[in-house]
Amino acid sequence: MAVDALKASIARIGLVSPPILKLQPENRYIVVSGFRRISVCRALGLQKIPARVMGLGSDDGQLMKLAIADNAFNRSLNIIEQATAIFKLSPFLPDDDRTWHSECDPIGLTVNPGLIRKLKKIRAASSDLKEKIAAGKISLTVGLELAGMDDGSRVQFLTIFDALSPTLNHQKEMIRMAGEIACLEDKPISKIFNSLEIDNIIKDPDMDRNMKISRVRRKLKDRRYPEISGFEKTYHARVKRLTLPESIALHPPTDFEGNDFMIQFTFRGLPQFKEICDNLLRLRDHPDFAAILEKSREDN
Amino acid sequence: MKITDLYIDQDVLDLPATRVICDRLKMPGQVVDSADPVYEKLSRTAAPVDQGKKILFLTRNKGAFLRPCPGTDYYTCCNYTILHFGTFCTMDCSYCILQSYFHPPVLQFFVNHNDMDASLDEFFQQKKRARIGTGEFTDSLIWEDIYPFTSHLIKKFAAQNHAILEVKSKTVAIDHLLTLPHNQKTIMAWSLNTSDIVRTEERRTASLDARLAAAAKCRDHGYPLAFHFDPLIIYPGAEAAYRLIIEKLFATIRPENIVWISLGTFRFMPDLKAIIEQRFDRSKIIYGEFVRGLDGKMRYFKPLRIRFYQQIVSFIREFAPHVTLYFCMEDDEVWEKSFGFAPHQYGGLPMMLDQSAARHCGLL
Repeated sequence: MAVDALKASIARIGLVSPPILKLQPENRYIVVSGFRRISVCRALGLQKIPARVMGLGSDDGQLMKLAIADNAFNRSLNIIEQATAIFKLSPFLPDDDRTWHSECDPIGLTVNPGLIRKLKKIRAASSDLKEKIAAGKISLTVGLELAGMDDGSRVQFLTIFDALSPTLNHQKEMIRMAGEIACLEDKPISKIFNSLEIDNIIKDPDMDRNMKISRVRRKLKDRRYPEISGFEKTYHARVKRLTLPESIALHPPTDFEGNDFMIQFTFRGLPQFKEICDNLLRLRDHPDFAAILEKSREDN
Repeated sequence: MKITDLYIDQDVLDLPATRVICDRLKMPGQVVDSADPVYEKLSRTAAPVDQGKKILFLTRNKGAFLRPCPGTDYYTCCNYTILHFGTFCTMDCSYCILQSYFHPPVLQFFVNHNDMDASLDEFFQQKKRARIGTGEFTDSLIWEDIYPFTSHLIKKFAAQNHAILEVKSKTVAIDHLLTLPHNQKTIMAWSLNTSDIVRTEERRTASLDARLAAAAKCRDHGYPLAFHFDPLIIYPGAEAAYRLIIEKLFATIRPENIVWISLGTFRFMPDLKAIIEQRFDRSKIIYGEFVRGLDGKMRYFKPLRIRFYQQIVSFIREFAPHVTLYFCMEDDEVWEKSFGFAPHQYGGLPMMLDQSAARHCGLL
């Protein structure tokens, strides 16, 4: 619940769920959970509010669970809050984190061993990244990838993702290709981006968002798969030189691995069919068509 | 073989091979009534592949000892027969398919050798030509220091004239095999790769020089030989590096002593990528220009691998114009563009290899 909504609720019907305090020596108290509620009550000018007080000898692990449950059952925790909860809870849980879900479920933290491992890792991420994950702008999976990068590379990716909002799959693809190029070339990702002039693409006023995403992906692919990219360019240049009408489509084998090409055509009436037949006959003797079928690498 | 945990299937406790292995390892084995405790132990470890190389499970092969090589439909297979006597490996090659092939990966040695012998006897009685290998699900020779398995097989194959045994290895544990009466029915084979790849991707394997020296020793004792350039790995400078090892091979071994040489570029099931990234974080071999092949495995982009094969074939042909050279799992297009012919023109790949085996090993 947002602070404003909480304020409106308390003002209208009072404090439904009292904060939890722990008694300290010399009759002092510390807040276990309910910081926001106390703050809102203060802002509303309330002098006295009910609270649940835990005794001096209360078990810290139990109190931590109580605090988490109090929050988790009041509102859904975002991924960073879950990571923080897991981190705070971890000293009170068994060493084997595969059993943690049985401890976490009853307090409103629905986690599995895989998620726990991820949450533990994300806890150490930089604050800019955590903010974006908490806001749902970056997925936990992508966040984890970014968390393992040097500062320069992470900032580069966050800039691209902020500017272009690529889909999750495109984000993953960009991270994978850039990481693999960096590994192959023994350079940090930030240097790869600089050499590919990705910044210029992002800032280009003449391209829309989709064009920019497509251009960034193409640049990365050309660098990561130079042979495949070069071959595809040659193939497309040859297809273009065939000057096929739109009614005829040539489909090469997927990734040029198999040997079966396919020609698909559509027509309306006999005149168009005859035109297609003429075009197909023309292909038979076209050197580019022969080169396409031969899958030769060198273009003439 | 450095074993930290020995598990023995209750079922094989009294078999002779079990006793030999326990004596040689000098360690108490934990008797189990199924594979579950072994798998459980592995699944609890943070690095099951590493741990699996130290845990040995002596058990019974409950399936077939002789089985066809798991080739796929589209690509041309040589119709090899696998003698399935054990699984996994103590060496550690980054590209090894066994890391993801077994779930979980664990060293298993099948000790019901009476059953294996019966399978072989039955097979030999059919008197049909066959090429049988032990190096598919494990390295053929890593087991020799705990059990003289290959010696037994060499003698067994020597007593018939229709099938050959191919012993394929990256080790040089051959001294105890040299004086055996092999009757040329065992082909001693080694995987070869460039010195860069051996150094960076093949942990705990014998050096190239050692492998070639071992091959020369076997040749001196009359064994026919074979070599496998598989996986060929494409990287900057690879062609020159493969040229060097090919020169070295033919400076040591004459082509007429070689029954066959196979070529196969690096290919892998997609699952292996994450394993290599995790276990071999400095390895770059998975970042080649791969596409998904028609068998689901990642393969180098076809025009790229054809060009590479053409180069390797020309190197080999320069030294050995008539040696039997073949591709492991490639299609007719690759054969035609690299060799100038497709296997069916010579009766098919299995027949080509059978004929070479017949010439070198005196098969009937």
